[in-house]
Amino acid sequence: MEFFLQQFINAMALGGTYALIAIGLAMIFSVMNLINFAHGELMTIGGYVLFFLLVMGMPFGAALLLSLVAAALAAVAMELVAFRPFRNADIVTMLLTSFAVSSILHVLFQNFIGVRPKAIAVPPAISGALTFGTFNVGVVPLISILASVVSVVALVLFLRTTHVGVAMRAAAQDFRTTQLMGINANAVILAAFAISGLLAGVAGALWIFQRGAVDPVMGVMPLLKAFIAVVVGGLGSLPGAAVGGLLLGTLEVFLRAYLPEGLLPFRDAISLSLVIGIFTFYPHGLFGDADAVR
Amino acid sequence: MRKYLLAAGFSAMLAVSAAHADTVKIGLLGGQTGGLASLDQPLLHGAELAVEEINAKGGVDGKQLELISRDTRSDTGETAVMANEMVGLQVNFLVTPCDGDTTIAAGQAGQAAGIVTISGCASPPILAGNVGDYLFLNATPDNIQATALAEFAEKQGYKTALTLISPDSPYTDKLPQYFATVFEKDGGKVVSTVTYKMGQQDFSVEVSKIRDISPKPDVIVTSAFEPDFPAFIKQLRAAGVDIPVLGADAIDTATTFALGAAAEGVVFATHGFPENGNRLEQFDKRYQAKFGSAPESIFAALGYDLIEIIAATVKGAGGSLDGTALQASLNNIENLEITTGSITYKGMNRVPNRQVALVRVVDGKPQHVEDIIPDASKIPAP
Amino acid sequence: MNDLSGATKVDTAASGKPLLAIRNLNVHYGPVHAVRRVSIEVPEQSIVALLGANGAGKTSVLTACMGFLPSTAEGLTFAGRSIAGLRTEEIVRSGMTLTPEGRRVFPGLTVAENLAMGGGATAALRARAKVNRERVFDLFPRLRERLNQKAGSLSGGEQQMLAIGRSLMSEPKLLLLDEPSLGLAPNIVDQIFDLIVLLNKTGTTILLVEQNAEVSLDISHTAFVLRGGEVAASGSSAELRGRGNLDGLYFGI
Repeated sequence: MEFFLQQFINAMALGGTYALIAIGLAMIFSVMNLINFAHGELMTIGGYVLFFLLVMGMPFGAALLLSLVAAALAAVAMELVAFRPFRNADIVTMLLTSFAVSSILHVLFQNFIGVRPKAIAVPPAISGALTFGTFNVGVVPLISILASVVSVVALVLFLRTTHVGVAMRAAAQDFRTTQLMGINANAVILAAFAISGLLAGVAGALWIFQRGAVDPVMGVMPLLKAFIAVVVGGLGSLPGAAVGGLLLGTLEVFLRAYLPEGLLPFRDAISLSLVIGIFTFYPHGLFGDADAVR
Repeated sequence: MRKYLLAAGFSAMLAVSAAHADTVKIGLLGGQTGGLASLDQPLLHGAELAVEEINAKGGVDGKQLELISRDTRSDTGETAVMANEMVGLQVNFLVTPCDGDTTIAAGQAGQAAGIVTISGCASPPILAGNVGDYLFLNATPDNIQATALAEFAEKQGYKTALTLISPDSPYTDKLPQYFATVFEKDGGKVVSTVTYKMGQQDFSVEVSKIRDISPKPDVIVTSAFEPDFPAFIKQLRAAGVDIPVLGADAIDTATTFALGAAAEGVVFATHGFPENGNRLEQFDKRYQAKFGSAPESIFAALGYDLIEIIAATVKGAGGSLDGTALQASLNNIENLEITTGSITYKGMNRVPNRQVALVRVVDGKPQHVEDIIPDASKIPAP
Repeated sequence: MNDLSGATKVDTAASGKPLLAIRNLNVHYGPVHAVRRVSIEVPEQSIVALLGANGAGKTSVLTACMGFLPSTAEGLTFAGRSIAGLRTEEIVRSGMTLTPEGRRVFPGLTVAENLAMGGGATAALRARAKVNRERVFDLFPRLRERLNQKAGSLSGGEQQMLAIGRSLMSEPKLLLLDEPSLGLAPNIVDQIFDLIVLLNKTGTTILLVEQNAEVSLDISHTAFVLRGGEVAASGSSAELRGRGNLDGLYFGI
């Protein structure tokens, strides 16, 4: 039971992080039909900013906040420089553009910062563990769960109560008609990028708490996972992305925890098979329908 | 007409290679970018320094060394393509990247062409047998590192051990198993083996499994390296598990020492330790002078070793750059003094015997524990 | 809306200068020349009907005016100002809006949110959104009852009301209506046309694209008939109605 509870916390922590990345991806897809494969690099950018600010001697909290801002700004810059010129291009062109942005950033990181991981010293308060009787739980998983919940709640409030938030949901459903409302399409898209960047920044920070270093390709693996989560949830659906992320994280953790040692090497194959199984029942993903973004 | 051109081209090629018979061409393939960069990049720098210094002193028996390096981007396919390019360039030595798969890919090209091929720092001892009689290792092989770690563990009084392995590479899979072989033969017991996937980063499940083992093992042995090792050790310590951890040479990098409290007390096997003005310390100083910063890791010194081994091989071949002569010469090297210590190929089937340095992380800095020359009778077969 | 029942006869004469003036508008879809040298004037305070068969280019004219379609024109002025090349949102803010064909309400947004989007272009509009919303509710009391329902769950007629109400939230001087009666039950269609007349009476100029030519000519002041992307006929609605043979005009028979 205790082992199960611990694994449950681990699952929610990992799933929550995947969900944050996946929601950002889904958000951009929903407003402009772009699967942004450079989204993972926003995590990396946030990580590098955190690293450099800490090296400059800034207190951890301030550096962390600024790194989130930097990830959001980087996302905005990506839209302005790379994606805006291809705004109405077909989906493949935009996909390739995002691949290009991703690999250009990899090269820039490698050549100007270095291929080797940069270690980030996380304060002991974050890297410690809490003990409740015999039950022992790391602080980082708890922070991951908390940060994911807070981010998602804040996002939902934003989307429901603010004008820009409602406009983003409108744009996700029908971009052209949103323009017909006299709403500034560029502003809505920029807001979507800023928020997706912010979420990527939060996810990147959580990732770094786990691994203690940032390197040029840090964002690649989580992005692939988040992409699977987005597809499982139904392309463009924000609740779908969140559920997909949690589902994938849970699958990964529980397979790792309960598969017999001899089957462990096949766990990715097994989890992907289960994911493919979902598509036989929900061909468009769990939340994949016309008005998925609510 | 076409035949004619071909023939002309061919004879031009022959002329070029004849003209360069007074140079020793070394084709160095390394992952200067990608997953192997933390190993291959310093290795290249060390090799560059060695070539420069040896050439400045007049080369080897009057022959200058020529280093031709290529970035394989840590990709096995690219490595194979570039190895064939090197064969085409008629290199005298081929150096392959720091891991098993790429070394096998490139080694097969070298083997087929009869070129002496040395893996820059891959350490699985099975590699030499996998590829053939032209493939040599440079780094301390895994079974020797593991034997040294087991001897150390026994001296600490550890009775039970847990091994953390990943079947994804021979290095991460086999080294802890060599340890287990030696440790159990001497009366210790490996109570559990936990498996991870390279690059998984989230170690929460593995850490929970380790924490739940009762009674807790005396020591954890792993050959995980970055980004896995930093993630693992951080999450292990974060979960309140204080079991000592033993690691291997791939974590002898700056990242490990920058991990703070998490890595404190970790002991790992490596290739040498710079102190008391020994050759390694002198190397570090010359390296600093050339590149403006201290070597990022021990792999820079291994790069220097590599060129010294090549120079000794050329010397031993008595002026011939023929593949078989170089092969025989390298197989004959015994107790050669190199930067990190001494190395012997003679009687070792192309997997060198080296002394193993044990290093502990203390206050974020390396501290020399001891040097171990494993008892040859204890070393497990590859 | 009782006072409007049967108000299909227009009694206020159209007056004044053109609010929207289109001169020699051309639209190309790749090699297809969909709109050819179309010139249309919409006088202030009038209802202008734009008629024609499917594919005649009616919707293209409207979307080109709204800046959605790349087009060329000798002149495209709204309220005396050129709107050629402006972005859609700028055109909407200047007082001209389109209720698109097929209603295009945001299905996942509530009625209230849909209306808020309609009146969300500028801070000034947002400040008056409450008042404007009450005016919309006066026209469509049903929307008030459905305020917190998802627009996707409304009936077709309710969605059309919402679509028009949403357009009104931007306080348009000129409302472009694209097939407002399409797919609606006959009694709802009547209501929609009554509403168009009412809106016009209260000061909104209307450019109406319709397939229902009979009623459109009844309520409009002037009309244009498009055929193959060109203006095939134009004149006062009464005069066009007098010609009788609309099919002939539509298809050139």
